[in-house]
Amino acid sequence: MSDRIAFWTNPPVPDGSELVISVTGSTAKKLVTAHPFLLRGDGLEQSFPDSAVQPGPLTIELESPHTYSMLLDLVFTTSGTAQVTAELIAPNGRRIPPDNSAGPVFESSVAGSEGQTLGLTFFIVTAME
Amino acid sequence: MYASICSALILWLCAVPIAYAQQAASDPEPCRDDESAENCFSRVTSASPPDLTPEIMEKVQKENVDRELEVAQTGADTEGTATASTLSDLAQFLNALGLLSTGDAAGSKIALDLNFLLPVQDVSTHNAQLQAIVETEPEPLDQLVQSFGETVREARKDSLQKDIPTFGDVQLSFTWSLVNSRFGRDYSTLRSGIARLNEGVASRGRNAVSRDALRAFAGVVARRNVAVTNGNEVRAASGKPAIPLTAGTGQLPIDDELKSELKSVAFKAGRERALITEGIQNELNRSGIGQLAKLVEQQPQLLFSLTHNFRNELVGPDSSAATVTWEMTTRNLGSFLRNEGRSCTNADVSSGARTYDSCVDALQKYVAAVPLDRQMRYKLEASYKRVKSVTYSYADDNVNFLIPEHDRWEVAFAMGRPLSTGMQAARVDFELSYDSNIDSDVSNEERLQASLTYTRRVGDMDMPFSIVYANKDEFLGEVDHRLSLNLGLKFRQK
Repeated sequence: MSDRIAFWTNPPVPDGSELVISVTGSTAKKLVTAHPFLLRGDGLEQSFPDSAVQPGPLTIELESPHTYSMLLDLVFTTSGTAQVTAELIAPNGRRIPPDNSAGPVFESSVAGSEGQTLGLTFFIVTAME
Repeated sequence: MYASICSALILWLCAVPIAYAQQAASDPEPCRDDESAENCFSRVTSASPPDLTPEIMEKVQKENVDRELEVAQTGADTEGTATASTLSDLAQFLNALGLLSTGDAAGSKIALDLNFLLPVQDVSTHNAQLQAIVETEPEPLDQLVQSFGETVREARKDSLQKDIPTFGDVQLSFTWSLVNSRFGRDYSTLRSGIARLNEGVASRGRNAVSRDALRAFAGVVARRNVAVTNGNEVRAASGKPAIPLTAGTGQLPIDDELKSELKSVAFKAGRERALITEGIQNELNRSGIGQLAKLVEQQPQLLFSLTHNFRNELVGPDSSAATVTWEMTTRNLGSFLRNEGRSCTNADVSSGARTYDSCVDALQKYVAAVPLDRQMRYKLEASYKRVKSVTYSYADDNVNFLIPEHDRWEVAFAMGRPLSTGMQAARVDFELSYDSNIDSDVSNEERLQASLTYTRRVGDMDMPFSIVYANKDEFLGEVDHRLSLNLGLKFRQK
């Protein structure tokens, strides 16, 4: 599967878990901006500014029972590489690894050229309380 | 009745381009039985926008380097972008150590980055730079060479050349640039404003596409997970092995209705995601916001530098200088945001609402008015220099003279622009320079020089034609044809 997609669905994550996202890649000479957009199963939608996620971290508390889709769009004002990290932290502080992942954290290095946009997507299912 | 026909026609006219645009995004194959819903989503998502594989990225980086070299402007360097063209064997070793600078050295010079000696915060913002520039082919002072008799001059020059040590001409230079909304090309300062515009683009791209399947997909996956767990329990009871969630949807122990729904929603969600990315990309291209880097490259710069030349006396006297350089254009990002593009600084821009439209409209007009790569660039530089004294004495050749310690002012104004767009564009440059003591002697002889240069690029070669004026004809340099007193025509091929 693509290194720009991650699922946290099996098992569903506990109520009160937090989705923590951070992006790095902008310097004095390079600029990539990140634009997170959260979709919840019940219709709630919320966007977050670049300044919240870069360098971040952006922390979103997840309520249950819900399904979430997080769209993270990167806009490369200059060519460069963005390092994206996403992790799910249970209320007890334990990191919940993505489905079928060896590591506890989703990490991706996304290279883009000037004027390009690239998107990452995360899906999360929270458990019944 | 006519009203309904007209309404239907209008709806059809609106629907056709949207449907066509969605079709035109290339139609990936629907989800297959032999792939999981996750893999199908991934495949469909990446079907439209081209992914940058390492191979493609390497190609992109190479193209970027090639483009930077190609667009290195011809003629007088009014923007401080001169690149090294000749490096000695030592350069490879220094480069391996990460000390070799990527610019600021030309000809036989090597520039070494010494930024590790500076405070971290100054280096990280790139507004301070410490460099050592080594002249790899130092030559004896011309004034000294000329003082020898004509019959022995070349022999003495060769002899002096051999006596110059390897590091006989080294310049240590500290440069600091002012970085704020008006000056500097520093994205750490400009980022918040550009991020607001990019957020407006992202909002536009997202809002143009349905997000229903994206919202529903995780829920269907969750139901699949439960159904597979239940199905595997049934299989376990009859002694059959469990089927993993990563198996193809067709192989999963779930009912056909859920399989069909899973494949359908995974495909639609993948299409929605691809169309959002494509919508953002199209909006970046349409609005011109994807080209903001070109406006940033036009930002004015105010540079302050301190230099000291460590020289073997055969090369010349040691000297110290303090320099202020101001480079500017009239059309740049800061100027746009303060004037025509004031609406772009409004917080509402990020929502992609009406303010965003007025911002994009202003940006498109601003960029279209004068091609950015053809606009005039100006440079004003003032330098105060202190030159140490040095004595030369060669009794056998009857050479004995002193260069006393003295101060001098150097001021230069330059302006230039390409005459057309494109890599092969010719350009015209004007430069007016003043030096309070060109001879480095007690006579304090001033020099005033003006030059108008037309540079034509032919292939990889620049061919400058200059008309030069100087208040003293000895300052005219290589003159091929004298037109009149203190006026020369110069042809140079490099």
